[in-house]
This record gives sequence, C-alpha cells and structure tokens, in this order.
Amino acid sequence: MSQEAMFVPEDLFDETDGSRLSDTVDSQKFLIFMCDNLKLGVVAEWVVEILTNQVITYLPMVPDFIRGIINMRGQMVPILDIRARLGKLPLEDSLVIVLNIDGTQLGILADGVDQMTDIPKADILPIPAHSAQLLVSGMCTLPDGSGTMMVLDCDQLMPHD
Amino acid sequence: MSSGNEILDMYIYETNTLLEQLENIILEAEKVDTFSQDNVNEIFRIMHTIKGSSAMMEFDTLTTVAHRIEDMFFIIREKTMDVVSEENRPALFDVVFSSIDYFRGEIDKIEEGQPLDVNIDSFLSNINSLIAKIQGGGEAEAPAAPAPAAPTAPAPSPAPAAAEAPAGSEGYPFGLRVFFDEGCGMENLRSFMMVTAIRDACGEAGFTFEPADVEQNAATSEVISEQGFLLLFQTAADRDKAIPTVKSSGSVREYQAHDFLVSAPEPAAPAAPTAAAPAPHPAQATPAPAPAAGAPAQGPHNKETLISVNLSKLDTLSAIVGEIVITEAMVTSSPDLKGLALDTFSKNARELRKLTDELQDVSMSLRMVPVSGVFQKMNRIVRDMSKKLNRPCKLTLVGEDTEVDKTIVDSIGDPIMHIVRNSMDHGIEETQAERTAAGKDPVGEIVLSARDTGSEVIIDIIDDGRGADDGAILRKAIKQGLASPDMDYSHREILNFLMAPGFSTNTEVTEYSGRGVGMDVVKRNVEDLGGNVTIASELGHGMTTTIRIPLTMAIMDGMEVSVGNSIFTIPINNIRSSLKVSASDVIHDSSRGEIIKVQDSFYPIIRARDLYQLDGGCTEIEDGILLWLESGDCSYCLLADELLGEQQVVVKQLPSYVNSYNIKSYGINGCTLRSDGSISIILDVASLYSAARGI
Repeated sequence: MSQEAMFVPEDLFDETDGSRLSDTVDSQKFLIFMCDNLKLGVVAEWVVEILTNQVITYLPMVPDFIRGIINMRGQMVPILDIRARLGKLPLEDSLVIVLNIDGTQLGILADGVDQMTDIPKADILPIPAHSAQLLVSGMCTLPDGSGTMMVLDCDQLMPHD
Repeated sequence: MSSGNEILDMYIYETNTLLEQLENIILEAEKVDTFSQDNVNEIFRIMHTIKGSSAMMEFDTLTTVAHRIEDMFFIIREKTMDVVSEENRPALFDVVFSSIDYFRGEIDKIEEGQPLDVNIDSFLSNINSLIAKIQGGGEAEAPAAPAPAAPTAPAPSPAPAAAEAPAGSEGYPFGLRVFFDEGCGMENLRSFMMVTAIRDACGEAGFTFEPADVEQNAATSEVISEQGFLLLFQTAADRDKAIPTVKSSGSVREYQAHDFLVSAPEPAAPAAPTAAAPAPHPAQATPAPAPAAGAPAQGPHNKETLISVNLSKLDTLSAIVGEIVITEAMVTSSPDLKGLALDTFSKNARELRKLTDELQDVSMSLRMVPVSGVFQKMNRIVRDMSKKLNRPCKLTLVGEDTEVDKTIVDSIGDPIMHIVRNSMDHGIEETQAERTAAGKDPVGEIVLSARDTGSEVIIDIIDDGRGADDGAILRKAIKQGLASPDMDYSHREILNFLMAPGFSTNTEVTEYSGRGVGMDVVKRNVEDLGGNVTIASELGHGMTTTIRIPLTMAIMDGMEVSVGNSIFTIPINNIRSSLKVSASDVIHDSSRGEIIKVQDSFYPIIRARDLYQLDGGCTEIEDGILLWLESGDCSYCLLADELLGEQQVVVKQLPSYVNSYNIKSYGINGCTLRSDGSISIILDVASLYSAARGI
C-alpha cells in the first residue's frame, strides 16, 4: 500500500503564531483548497494533516456524503465528501484533509491544495443573503488577487440531531 | 505526577486494600460469632497500619479512630475473645463494620479532595463505651493498660533500645544496611514502609531494625540519611528473602550486607530461633502463627508479588501492542516482498510473529483480574440486608477466581449488587415460617457463581426464594402499559417484562431496591459491556439471573467475510455453522422473506447485500455462503459472499461522528484493522437481526 503523508510544515504554524501575537484579532491563517473550481478555506489551526492515496472503507447505513472511514495510524477518521454535499459528482483522485474541530476528527475530500495564506478578519464578508451556496459561512477576495475564497462552515459539517 | 500525589494514591490504595481484608475477616468471624486469635492479630495489624499511615498523611481523625479500635483489639488480644461477653459481641461486630464504613467514607472524601469529617466524638464514644463494657465484663484489669501500651506495643517487633549500640547482637547477626537516594526526604517513613513490606514478605518473625522508632520519630530521617537504615535478621536466609523487597522499594540507592559475627551466639540463633525469640520479642509468639491460617494470610503473601499500575498505562500498552501485531503482519506480508526468496527473512519473520503473539497474550492477561473483589462486596450487602429485613440468608460464592477484564469487573459490580438486592428484597421469603412451610431450609441462600467458557464469562445469581409469580408480573405489566391484556404471553416473555423499562414489582420503595432504578438499567449496563442478561424462574423455586459477558472487550475472535467490496467481521461465538445451500432449499414466505431449514428448524435468511444496500456481492444464493448466527434469543442465517478466515481482532470503536447516525442499531458495532491495514466492520448479530426484521 503506498501511502504518503504530507504534514503541514511546522514553520507555517509558527509564523501564524508569531503574526497572531502582534495583531491577534486582525488576521487568521487559512488553508485554501480546491473543490470543483471553488476555492474553499478552512482555519489552518484545525488542519491536522493532508493525506494522499488513502483507501477509504465504505460504511453502510450512513448518509451519502460520508464516504467511509480511513485508518490514520490506528485512528479511525470519517471522511466527508464535500462534492457530494454540494451536489457534485465525485472525483476519482482526491486527497484527504484531516481536520480536528473541537476534538472531533474528520477528513474532507479535496481536489487539491491551493495555498496557505493570512486573511485579515475584517476582509471576510458574509455571503449574500440570497445565495444558495451551501456549507459556506463567509467569503473574501484573496490578497494575491488569485480569486475569491469561500470560508467552509465547519459547523455545518458536524452532525446535528 | 508529583511525589506527594503518589504517596497519597498509595495511601488510598493500601488503606482500601486493608479495609477489604478487614471486612472479609469480620464477615467470616461474625458467622462463627467469635474472633480467633489469628483474626485478632490480623485486625490489630491492619488497624495499626492504618493508624500509622494516616498519621503520616496527617489525617488526624482517622488516626484517632484507628487508634481506639486498635486499643480495643489490644485488650481482646491480651485477654482473648473470652473477655467479650456473648451479649456484647453483636455490638463489637457492628462497631467494626461501622468503622470500616467510616474509613471508606473518609477515604472517598480524601480522594475527592473534600475536607474530612471533624466531628467524630459520637463515633469515638461508641467505641469507648464498648471498650468500657468489654473491660467491665472481663476482670478488673488496670484501666490504664490500653493507652500507654499502644505506642510501644503496636510495633510487632519493638527492638529493645539496648540493642542499638552493639548492632547485631541478641540473635540478629545478619545485617543489611540500606541507603536511600540523597535528598529523597522522609527517610524514616520510607524505612517504615520498607519494614512493613519486608514483614509482609517474610512473615513477622526473624528481623529487627534500627533506628527502631522510625515510625514515630521524624528526627530519625537524618540518622538514616547519614548512616543508612539497618535491618537485622536472624538468619542469612531471611535476609536473602528480604533483599528483593528492599530492591523494589522506592528511592533505594544501595544496600550492603554486614554480618555481625562478634561473639558466638550464631549456632544457637538459627538452630533455635523460637527459643531466642521470647526475650527481645514479647509480641512475636502470637503473630508468628498468622501466616499459617488459611484465607486471611493469603493477602500479605500475594502482596509481595503484586504491584499496582495505573489503568491508563495498561490501556496504552494494549493499544500499542494491538498496533504492533497489525504492523508486524503488514511488514511480513508486504506486497513488496512477493516473489522474493528470503529465507532468513521468513525465518525471522516467523520468530517475530511468535513473539508478538506472546506479547499480545501477556498484555491481555495484564488486564485480567479475578471477580472475587466484586463478589466479596456482596457478602456485606447480604449481611446488612438480612439483619435489616430480619431474613436470615447466606451467600455462597462459586468460582470467585474467574478472571475478566478490569473494565468489565469495574462495571459489573453495580448490576450484580442490584440483582443480589432484588433477590434479598423480593426473592427470599419474608418469614422463616413461610420458608419452612414450603419445605425449604429456614435460612435462605443466594449463590453467586462465575465460570469461564473460554470466550465469555457466565455469572449466575441464584436465590432459593419465592420465584417469579407470572400472574402478578403480567398484571403489573398490564398496569404499567407494557403488556396488552388481550394477548397471551409465554413464561419467558413474562419474565422479560421484569427487565422492561418502567417495571418494578414492589409497590412501595424500600431502602435497598425499588429506587426507580430497575432491572432495565442492569440490562442496559450489561449490554453496554457487550453481554446479556437472562432470567429463569419458577414460582416457589427461586430465581436464576444469568449475566453473560465477553472476557475482554478489546480483543475478539472473529470470522471475516466479504460481501462485494466490503469486509465484515462476525464474532466467532455467535456463529453456529456455515452452510452452502442451493436455491431449491430456500422456502419463500408470503412477504417475500426467505426461510431455510437447518437441523429440523426453520430460520430466516438475511442478505447482507440487501440489508446494507451494497453495490457488489452475489445475488444468487448458490454463489454465496450462509452463516447460521445466534445471539440470545435470535437465530438466523446471514448470506455473505465468501469466508475469508478466522482472525483474532482488536476491536476499535467507530468514530463518534459516524455513530451519531445510529448505525449501531443496524448492527454496525465497531471496526478492526486487518493485517494489510484495511478496515473491516464488526457486526453485532443481535442488532443486525432487529434491523433486518424492522425493514
């Protein structure tokens, strides 16, 4: 089994801490990944690691957007398919971003990782009220001008019952 | 963890162990209504240790209470049990029981960091009045005896002060000088703890130590840190026996053996140790026979080879060992090795497999503890309740040394206690006359038995009481809305109402049972452990409650089966057999269900592919294989594609994220890592059945 783990480089986090010490409230580091031509961003602090070539074990009797579970060094991590959640067709070759949101570990499928960047909090704007975009809690224009980032609403990913 | 906490943990652990020993002794003694001299010595020793360690921890109230009880048993020890007149004996037992409860209560408070009860006057006066009665009952002994005697007499081998300077004389020529780590602090108490440990390991006799007043005198710390702590033994063999204990004591830097063979008393000492003993050891003659006694002596003997380990460390260990076993399999069966001729590698790999298997067995066995601890607690409950309810009843324990996983032992205590209380409260007849009229022994009996079948532990709680009255239960069930009045119920179904939520046969709440927590909670707790509860009863002939629980929750023997691309693991003990059938053997019922006849009975067929809506997997019954499964009441056949083989698997919980979608009710109970790192899903046979029936 070929398995390749790509840890998020430590120094990126260190940098985050450093910059947050100087202006704690103002900016936040985001990991931006691609999902069906959308640039989605998650708070970098939540990212545990990024895995490629994972074998996902199918789990019956769960909603479609849960693709199954993976074995991450002995830990079972559920994998959510954002594409399925957004009503898109699944992609064969995707990577897994493992997040730890308030102690709950879950993986999300992404087409690819774009960049890691600091976003001033003030720049994150609410999504337009009439937008039907799911799973997004805010959006902002990227500082490098490469496009617009949608902030993934991780709260919506958590199970509510 | 700071060292202060470690000492506190040790204190709590030790005191609890001692209290347990004490309780067992008292329970045994109460049956014969007297204390043997061995018992008295043992109680005296326990109280003395509790007093000493409580004083060390500065729990003054505990020290005071322990001291008074020690005084009381000092009197009894000096004058034998005859000093306690018949009418005072129940009071004596009660006082000791209440003091055990008092200590337990206080220890709980200590554990939770709460302040201790300061008002112990009434409790003390109870003890004091009993002491007065005992003394009044006996001949008029000097009333001052207990108080001044206590500080000196308690140390079972009070080394005579004169022995200090010419070390090693007086029949103790074999010295062992122990040095503690520099600056470790509290050398005197460490020494005392070492003495206690050695005493447990080697018995009471045969050694002395100096400074002799390490227990009371903190100033000895300095002496010990400078000159070492000197242990003196009668024989070299005793010293050799003590050395492992010394080695394993904490903070020991080094120890040196010295033989003080100055004069020539040696031949006499080993040859006639008993003759030499009386002079320096007034107390020795009596403690010596203690180890010879049966049950109570086992405690101190076992302790020598036991250590206490934090459970979380064991959990980590078994988790890591589980991973090692899987990683080992991943390495040795790696696809990269395919086609290579690796003789040495294969040989070493086989050796590694053998060793990892052993490692796994050992790490599992570490977590196994006997159920006796739980069982023996029931002694007390039966004793208290039979007194309170005035229903004489005895408890018989069978198979107490059966071992189960520690987590299971911790969680079966409450269910068993509940069932035992139920038996006392509702099972055993209210009056002896009622029992005699039914042709039974006037003294009721509850049997608590445990046995190990290899895959699970079966615990029976059997009482010979009234048994279950089907009519009464059914009326009650109808009243509670659990049963319908127009239906006919079988005996078994009626008994199952006892475990239905919201059922309680006693109309009024009693002190012991019927607190709104019923058998349904017992059932749920046991099911949480992966076990089940069944009740069998016949009116007038008592009731048997059977709890079946898996030996361990962490490891399981499972059969791996494939259905399409998915792999499932089914617990081996749920599988009765597997069978190949042809389509013509299958009987179809009106609701498109499939039924198969196996060994003269009919069983429904459940297709895993259909139940779990899997894409792959065979659709023709001839292509697949039927697994005849059984769990509790349900028995059925599951259609799978292929059997992949039997595996011992490490059970892992599914992430709570997916569990929140209630997949457990579909029989998806957990998962396990296969040898190639892929995941297999563990099925629960019972809930799979109810899920399939519900569809």
